[in-house]
Amino acid sequence: MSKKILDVKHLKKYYPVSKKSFLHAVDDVSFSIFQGEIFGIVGESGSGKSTIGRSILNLIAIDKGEIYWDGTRIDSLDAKGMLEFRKKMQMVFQNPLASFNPKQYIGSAFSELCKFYKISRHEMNEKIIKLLELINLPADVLTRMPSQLSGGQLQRLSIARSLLLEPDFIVADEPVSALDVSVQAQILNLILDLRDKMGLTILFISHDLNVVERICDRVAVMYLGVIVEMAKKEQLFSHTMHPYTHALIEVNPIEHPSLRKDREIIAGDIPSAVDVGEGCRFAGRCQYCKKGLCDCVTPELIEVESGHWVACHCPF
Amino acid sequence: MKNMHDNIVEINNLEVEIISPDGLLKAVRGLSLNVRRGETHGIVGESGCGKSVMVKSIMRLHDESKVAYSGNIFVNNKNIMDLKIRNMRKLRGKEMAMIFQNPMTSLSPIMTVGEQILEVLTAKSNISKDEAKKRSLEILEKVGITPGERRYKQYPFELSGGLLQRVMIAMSMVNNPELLIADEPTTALDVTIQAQILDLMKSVQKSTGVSIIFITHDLGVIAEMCDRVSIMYAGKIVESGNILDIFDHPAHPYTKALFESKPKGSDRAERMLTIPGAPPSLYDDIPGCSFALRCKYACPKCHSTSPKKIELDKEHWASCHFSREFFEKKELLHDE
Repeated sequence: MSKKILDVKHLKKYYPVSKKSFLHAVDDVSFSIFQGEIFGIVGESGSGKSTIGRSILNLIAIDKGEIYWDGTRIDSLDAKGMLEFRKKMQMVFQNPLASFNPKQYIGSAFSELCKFYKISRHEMNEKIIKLLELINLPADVLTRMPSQLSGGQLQRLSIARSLLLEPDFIVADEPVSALDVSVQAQILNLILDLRDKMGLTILFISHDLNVVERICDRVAVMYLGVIVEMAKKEQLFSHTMHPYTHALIEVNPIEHPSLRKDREIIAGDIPSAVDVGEGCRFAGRCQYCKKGLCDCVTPELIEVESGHWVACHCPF
Repeated sequence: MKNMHDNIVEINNLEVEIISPDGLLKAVRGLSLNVRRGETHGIVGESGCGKSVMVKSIMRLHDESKVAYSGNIFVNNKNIMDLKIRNMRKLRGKEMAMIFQNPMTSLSPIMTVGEQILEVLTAKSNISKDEAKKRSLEILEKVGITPGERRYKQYPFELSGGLLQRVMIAMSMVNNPELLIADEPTTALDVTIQAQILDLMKSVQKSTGVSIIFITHDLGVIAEMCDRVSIMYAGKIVESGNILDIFDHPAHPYTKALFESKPKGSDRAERMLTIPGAPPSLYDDIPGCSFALRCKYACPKCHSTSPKKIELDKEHWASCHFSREFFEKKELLHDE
């Protein structure tokens, strides 16, 4: 297997909601990403998946834990120290319209970045032409305002901009959730191309199981700030071990009307992540919950099979 | 005439033009649609194809000083285009009701959810306040908001998105309407909550027999919920039929492309098929077929002549010059 490029160890991020209570956005999460892979994080809203993405890029300060990029610890770096790493690690956000300055031409959104990183005009032009070719857009988009372009075009530009500094690693935070299906496929194909042609390593955050299954190598399933299951995609979907992953797959919309059946639909709402106590976070909604065990003792994420990690007292 | 009675909604050649700051938006362009009594009819389309404008027209919810309609919409055999707004108001809630994508913005933030249900009840029927409160509590429990007594007194901000959508369903069903229009009711919800809401809608339909128009962009939700489906593109229905016909024998290239671009399977060596370009702007006139510019099968005829509806099978039609060939899965000869 290729080498570990990113190492996240015991990452914790709590947000204060009052003097005494905290929202446990991410609670002791550890994982590694290998060079050239697309690592997916899937989970519902409030599971902490975006917080992880932002923490890795040092966009928010973490409370505890360590993040290593290629052996160098980066979570403790200040803005200046981070500059060098920002070239290597970039981010693509969910809403492409909000990722561009509405009063700035697309072209200057690109050139601003080049100026900041002292890239010569000549080199910049060459790079931009190459990138536009890659994302299959004509050069005249550079003279447009964000409001004149469609969501799909802007998302492609947002990906192109993230590639301008030739990064090794990209965090894509729900990059296709705001897009229509026909455009979604264009972006997903582009992301696969980037990996195959440029050897990028990608952290792909999504709530959509179909999308994750389509493009990721390994997947971590998150629930209320913790990873409940992590495995190679094939293992995760064919040999699901955690009841929550199972429930997610069960409620995933079907592909064809002939597959309609009475589904076991998981009951209840996603609970609040404020002041979560001991015990499995999923215990309250889990139909296999063992009283006295699951609701009192926090299960640890353990490697049950080679490469297949589960945090559950009684996995399938 | 028998057909008329089977259909709860019948839309003939509807056109809706909206005056907007950017010019005249021709949002619906000659749309025809039948919804049968008791069925769940799915409407699929991408953002900006006019699907929300169309269903809002059924409720006549547009600002009518800025909207020009032409064509007819029959609901329960009444042409609602002829009704005065005053009479229209009587129909809303009682004969037809609507739920929206974002339940948080559909409810008043300063009234308890119970009071809002009660208000709908007392506004539409002559019942005493005590009776209305009893009914409100009943319906809250029926849509799975328990304990009703406590929830009745809660404000929208105290409830989760899933519970609020349940409140919306309770509110819309409280006067037993015959038609429920659901405009992307689960798009803003997480998948586990989406499944719960879809399940609730199914059981509500089972117990009341209400006809549902279900708008979504998610083909998976359509597969789960609907009896019949209509595919909408650039202000028109381009294909309509029974759910199995549409899933197994799509006869419009846009329908085919939608299915093909859905992420499925896990073979990454194969790229997903995409639809190039973007939908046309509804401010412009579109000569010929509106999908021609993005269609890989388009020929000169498609760019000049607007295709007619082609009947393919019982209740399955599509408007593409080559629908019959697609339907019979024949290869198209021209290669442009």
